[in-house]
Amino acid sequence: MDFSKVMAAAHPAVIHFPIALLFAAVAIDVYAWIRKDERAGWAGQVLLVLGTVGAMFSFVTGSMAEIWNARAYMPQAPMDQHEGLATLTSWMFIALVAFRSFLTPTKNRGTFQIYLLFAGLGLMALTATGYQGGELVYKYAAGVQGVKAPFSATAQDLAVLSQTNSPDELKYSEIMHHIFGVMVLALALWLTYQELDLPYVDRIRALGPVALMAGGVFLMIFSDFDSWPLSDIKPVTDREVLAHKVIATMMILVGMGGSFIRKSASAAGQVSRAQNHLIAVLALAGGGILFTHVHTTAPYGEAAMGVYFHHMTLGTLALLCGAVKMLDLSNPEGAKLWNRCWIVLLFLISAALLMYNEGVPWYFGGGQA
Amino acid sequence: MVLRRRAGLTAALAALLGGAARAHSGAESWEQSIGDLVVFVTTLGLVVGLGWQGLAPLFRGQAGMSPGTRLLVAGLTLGLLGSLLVAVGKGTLWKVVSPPPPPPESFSSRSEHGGAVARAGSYYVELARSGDEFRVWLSDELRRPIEPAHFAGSVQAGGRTAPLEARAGHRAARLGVRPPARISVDLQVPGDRILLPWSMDAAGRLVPGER
Repeated sequence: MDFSKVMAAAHPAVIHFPIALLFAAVAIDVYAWIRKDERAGWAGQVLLVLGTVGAMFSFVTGSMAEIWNARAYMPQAPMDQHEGLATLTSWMFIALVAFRSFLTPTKNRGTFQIYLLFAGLGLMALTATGYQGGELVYKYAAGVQGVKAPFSATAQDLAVLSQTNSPDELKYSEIMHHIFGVMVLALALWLTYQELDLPYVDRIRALGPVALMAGGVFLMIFSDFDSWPLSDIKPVTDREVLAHKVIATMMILVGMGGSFIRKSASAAGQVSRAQNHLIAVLALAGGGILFTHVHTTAPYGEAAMGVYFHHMTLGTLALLCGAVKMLDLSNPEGAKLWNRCWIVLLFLISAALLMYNEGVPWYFGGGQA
Repeated sequence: MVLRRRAGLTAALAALLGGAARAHSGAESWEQSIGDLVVFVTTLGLVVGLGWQGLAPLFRGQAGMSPGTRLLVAGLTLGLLGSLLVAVGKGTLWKVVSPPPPPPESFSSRSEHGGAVARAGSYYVELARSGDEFRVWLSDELRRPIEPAHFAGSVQAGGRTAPLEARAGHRAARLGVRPPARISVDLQVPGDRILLPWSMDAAGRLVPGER
């Protein structure tokens, strides 16, 4: 079974979930704000999270649909526009989820109004994205079987379809993912060591933030095959390169933050609620980067398809990491369980990274493991 | 406090100047420079803001934070996500609001495979001859190659037709033709057909058009 085709076909079905959930979320939040209702506010927040996660999964099914429609010689410009709006909408709601997570409709009345204003803008972007997606079907017959498409690919579209990644680029990307697989594995082992409270745990604890910072610096320099020298415009404008640089920045900052724990005698080893909250938000952002990642070179090739599959797996694991941290926040009595879940998820992420290749992963029916 | 403000102002000014120089060095237009500048400053603001003010108090384990600190955390997080939004959305936003790039003004007839180049609409066709074999390369108006899987066609000369078969990066047809001759290349691309006449002079050189 070709999962990419299954996912592409699922796009028109899946997109209805985020549309319905996000409209409902904002409507309920408006009600919660007017009536100063905490329970309605809780429902609004849950729906907002579910809708945003739904938007991410819709995005990746859309990426698959885009590949198959481009290969069927549909014009790429309208699909690019739809993808652009979908990216914008997804990130608006990711930002809104993060912002909303710090607010309640009863205690932050003024700030909540600002949230509602931006949520309204988010819904407008969502509507525009949905409308444009409908046009792709009604006007360009995207994914419609048994009809002759009214418009065809242009010369430029065919040239883009012909693009392939060089073996060097693919190898470089694979090696980078494997290096990060080893790093995440080391992080998981480091946490396991602390969880088991083995000898010299204090000294071992100091290594984590340093390793994270080192990983961030490494990624900042070596993230992409063509991201240097800085005199070129690509490191600042290419979306793929920027996403990697943002991840590197996050790693350096979290590593720096971890070192502060060591220096603060009053809170050595303590993980604060705020830190959990921040990690949950960062996990959401990380998931967003992975789900909305667009393969900019050879966007319709086999490598692009493989990258989307791998990133969907990694993005799902990142979202689960965020969910675990949120559960830790809401239910601190189960901290030991959440810590162990967190470690298991890190082991899974490291496995996903170590198995990474630039083709469809074996668990989605790919030929290479 | 004053020292902090001064340091912040200096950092912001340095970011702005560095960003302006950086952004305009490779940008195609002032609008794009401004977009790049926004990305640069926001990303730098993210690094400076989060590293300097945000994370230090957070990681010291102050569980019971004051409303002001919570708001600061919310603001910083928004800053982080805002910059992500700008970073990721800028390219796409730019794509949404900007018209497609205009095709190159000049006719680029430079041969890349030793043949003769002709333009047909937004396509470039290069035809080369090696003995009895005619080879056809197709590219777009930016001269980016189009793989043979995306087009088909035939070569006609002297009342005979030979289908073009896919090879690595091009298509080829075997057709014994003695110069001088008129040759016609018929290509089918998705939704379109390209019909190009060529002339082969007595020396066997190919020239686009009929002579």
